[in-house]
Amino acid sequence: MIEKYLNGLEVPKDELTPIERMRLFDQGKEIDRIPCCLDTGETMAPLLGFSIKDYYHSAEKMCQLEEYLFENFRSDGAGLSTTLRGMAEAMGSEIRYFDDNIAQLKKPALTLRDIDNAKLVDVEKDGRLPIILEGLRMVKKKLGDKVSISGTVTGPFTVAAMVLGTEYLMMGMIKKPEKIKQLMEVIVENNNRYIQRLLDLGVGIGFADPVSSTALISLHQYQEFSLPYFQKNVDFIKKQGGGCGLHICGTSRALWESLNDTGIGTFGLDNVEDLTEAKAVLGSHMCIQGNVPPVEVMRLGTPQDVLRSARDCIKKAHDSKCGFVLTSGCQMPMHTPKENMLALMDAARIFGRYPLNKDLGEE
Amino acid sequence: MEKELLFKEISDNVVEMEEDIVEELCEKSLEMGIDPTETINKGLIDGMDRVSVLYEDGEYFLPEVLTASYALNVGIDVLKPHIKQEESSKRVKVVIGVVEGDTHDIGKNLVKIMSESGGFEVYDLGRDVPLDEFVTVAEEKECDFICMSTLMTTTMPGMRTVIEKLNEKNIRDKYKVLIGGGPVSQKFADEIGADAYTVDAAACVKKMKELKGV
Repeated sequence: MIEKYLNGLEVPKDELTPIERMRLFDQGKEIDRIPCCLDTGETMAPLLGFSIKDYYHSAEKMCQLEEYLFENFRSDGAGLSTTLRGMAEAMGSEIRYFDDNIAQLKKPALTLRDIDNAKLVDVEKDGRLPIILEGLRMVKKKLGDKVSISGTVTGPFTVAAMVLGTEYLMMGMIKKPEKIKQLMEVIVENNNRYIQRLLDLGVGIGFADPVSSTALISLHQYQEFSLPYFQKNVDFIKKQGGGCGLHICGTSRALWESLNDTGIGTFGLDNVEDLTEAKAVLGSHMCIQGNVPPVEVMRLGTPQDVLRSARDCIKKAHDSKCGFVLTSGCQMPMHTPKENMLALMDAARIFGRYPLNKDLGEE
Repeated sequence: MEKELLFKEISDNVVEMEEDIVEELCEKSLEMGIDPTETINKGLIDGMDRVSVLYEDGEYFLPEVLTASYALNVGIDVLKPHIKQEESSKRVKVVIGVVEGDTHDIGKNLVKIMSESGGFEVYDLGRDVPLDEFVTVAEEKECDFICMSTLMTTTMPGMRTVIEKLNEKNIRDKYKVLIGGGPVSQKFADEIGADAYTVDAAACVKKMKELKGV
């Protein structure tokens, strides 16, 4: 069946628009198919011929890209991210921008010796935050009645890594734990200031927190230096009636039990973790998302590879108690073929169509 | 204090990540007239080797490894000026770096730390390394291994380029090429003709030992 894709196989048409689908999904009601979100962002800027550096600095370009992606792929979500470095830049880190590559940290804002100088940000002025907020305002206006819009915030621990340099954050946890906690409090406040704008705009909120991966830190360190501060951001959102999701790149299994008590609504797992296990541990507490490999399959595979991988994901997670959203295990890389992005959406239409085919189209 | 006891204390304090104590003890070793090379091997490197084991066992994570490595380097800085002759060139040599265009170097640093504690002599080219430099330094230092890392898909092709450069010069067989990093895989290693892909630093050191039969 998969072999017939793009070669005569009929892809069932959607019956709901993305915004209708996600509204019903959020209420736990019946929908036409499993939702599917494309994890996009700056890596997709080349699709419109934009220099990535220009994209980062233009609300108009950000909005144009979201419109383009929506028109071409009709993903069940749209939105803009502060990127992993956006808040750190606002706090004084220097970022190196490239025309043809994602940005990288050039010089951290602080050293372990001058954490007292950690600065509170003005989200209307500092770094690219005002540009991203303006971009979100525009996206909301253009697409808000067609698809749910969200803003991605960087998890406080990852912000700390971009403010100090990851290695210094790591060593600081051992040598200067109180100073690190002092910095984390400043970051919580900065994130809350930004989050307040997202809540005011009426967009959804997701966190990306790759540095909290257990590839870097232990569960114990997560619970001491990362989780309490993330929780403060989550509580800030929930107190105002909002909800949020979290994505941690890389390994995260050891952290899952801790996440169950945070009150987050969604967890997106990396492709190195297993959806069956996520369903068992997290599934009755939150919606789970994942996790087609972004490099091996989305960037380097064929549309058929995407269908196969997506079918496996759906097989594993379709019956997760609080819902499942098909997506890639992390942001899709630059130069991911459009055909593969379409194939991911089509996988949700072919294999995720309700009522689900029991064998999920297996030959 | 007895020599062996001093080595053990140095090793313990690397494991405990106490750089100030390591510094004092290394100074003491010099006062006692102990051969600095012996202090490095039986004290500092021994400690770091234990750290590597703790890391592999999941007792230690990146913060501990980096902090212990910092303590190790404080000790080496004390001892190195007192080493009279160059180290023997018998040790297996590794040139390592993050390929051009990428500055994410934590994984690379971890491989460097664990290779050194595993007894390899490491030439660290740092990050955002021009591709020719891997070849030049490997030739110059007569290395056995070329290790390359990247966290980004956009810079992965640089690894292929380095291997092509080795082929062009007809020196590919002189080296074992190992690659690693988030987006890299065994499949990619096969495609570009690298000798191995390893998933993390511990696996990389293990692989190098296996390939060299040490």
